[in-house]
Amino acid sequence: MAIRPSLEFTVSHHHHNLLSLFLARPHPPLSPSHLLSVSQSSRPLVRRIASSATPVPHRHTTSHRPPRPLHPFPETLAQKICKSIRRPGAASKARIYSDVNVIRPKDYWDYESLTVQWGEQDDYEVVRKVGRGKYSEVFEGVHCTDNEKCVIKILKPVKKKKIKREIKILQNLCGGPNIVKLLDIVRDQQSKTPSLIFEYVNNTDFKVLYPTLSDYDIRYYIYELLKALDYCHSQGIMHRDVKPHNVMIDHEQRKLRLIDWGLAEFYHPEKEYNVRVASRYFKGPELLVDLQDYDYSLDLWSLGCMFAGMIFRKEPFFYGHDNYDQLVKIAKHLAVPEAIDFVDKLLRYDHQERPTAKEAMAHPYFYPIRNAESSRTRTQ
Amino acid sequence: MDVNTGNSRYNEKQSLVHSKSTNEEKRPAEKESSTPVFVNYAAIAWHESRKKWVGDQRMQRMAKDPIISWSTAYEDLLSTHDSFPEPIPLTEMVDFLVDIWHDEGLFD
Repeated sequence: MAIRPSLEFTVSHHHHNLLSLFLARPHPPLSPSHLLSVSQSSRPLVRRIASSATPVPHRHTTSHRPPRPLHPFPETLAQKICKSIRRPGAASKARIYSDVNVIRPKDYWDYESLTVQWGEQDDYEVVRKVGRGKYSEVFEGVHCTDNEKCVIKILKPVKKKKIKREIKILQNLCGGPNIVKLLDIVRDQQSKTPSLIFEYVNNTDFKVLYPTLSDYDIRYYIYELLKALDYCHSQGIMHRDVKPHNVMIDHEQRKLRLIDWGLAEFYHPEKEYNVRVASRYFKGPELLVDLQDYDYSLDLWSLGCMFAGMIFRKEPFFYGHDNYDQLVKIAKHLAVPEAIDFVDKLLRYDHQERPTAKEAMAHPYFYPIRNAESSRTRTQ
Repeated sequence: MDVNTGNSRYNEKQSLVHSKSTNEEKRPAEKESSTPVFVNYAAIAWHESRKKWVGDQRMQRMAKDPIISWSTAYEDLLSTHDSFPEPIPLTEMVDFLVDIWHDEGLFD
């Protein structure tokens, strides 16, 4: 596969220390303290990407032979196609809330044994379409007996198990801050098509709303979203599909709801999960390298992407054309903090704190330029 | 800001306001046992609020003429987010979608 060499280029040239620099030392504009946990928990992972993709020392010693990996065991196909690899006994585990479902009884997390009591489908009408997903069609609806507005999510045919998981999770999170409320569950008698009835939120499309939000608004809504995430994590549940489309905001009421729990899952330490979750631009590196024992921290990566898109007015923030390109876009972005650091050093109120031109030229921001320059002088 | 501290403070507040809507591990009196007993208050609250939402009125199933014409295609009805000319019973919308999903092979 031709995949690996270009990852090597992106990651190995731009390196280890750059990666760990970015991950270890979060930068002011990018890092409200909540996002800190993203950087810290994904640090070993990205190191792993870097180290499995970059046999750096070999490159210098064996310049004409193909580089061999540093690992004590032979390179597997998994490594070649950028899969994460793990030495025995080095499993990944959530730093917080890791044992919620270990402590709680089976009944709490065993969604397959849920028995659903279906309500009356005839009690509802649909008024307009509000959205369409991979797994559903979503409508604004009315509860006919009392004329109350609601949102009706008609589920496309999927495994029963998946439907039960979504219902069980919404029940377990009932009453949590900024978690959308599930009001009723009904089913079509003939086709057995389930519909989930939710509280109505007067959402403004994020493409319209986000560009109008003030700095304060963004802080406010990200904070509200973090409340929902911390809550579901504290209940042993990861959302796995955080993105603007799944965050309903009624700006007039300053009300935020995290919706679409269809991909959400119970966290069990060391369990290997499907990496085909989240939407491409919001997929954490762990998913893109096929690391299956990921955890709640995935949601913070996705939130980070969403947040960066909001503050830099760039949507989506990482715009990969496929899953692999997504990883490349993320790795390339790691250079940006250097630029920010550089600007930060230049724009000092106290003129004596500013770097001299020579010092400025020595800033890591210019490494690629200096490297190119020095290789040019060498060949001259 | 410390996220964890914020959270525990939040839970305390929660339990004061609506005392039993969210889940917490409760330790029983020390003499009984030292292992926490888990009660899924959230699920209990969910069942209660569902009952309240549903109410005790039932819609009578009236034999009304269908609103969606037999010749309506998906795009005709669902390509915009505008309101339908009149509300459509959920059952009818489900029938409409199920036919389309059948054609798309989603039931195979």
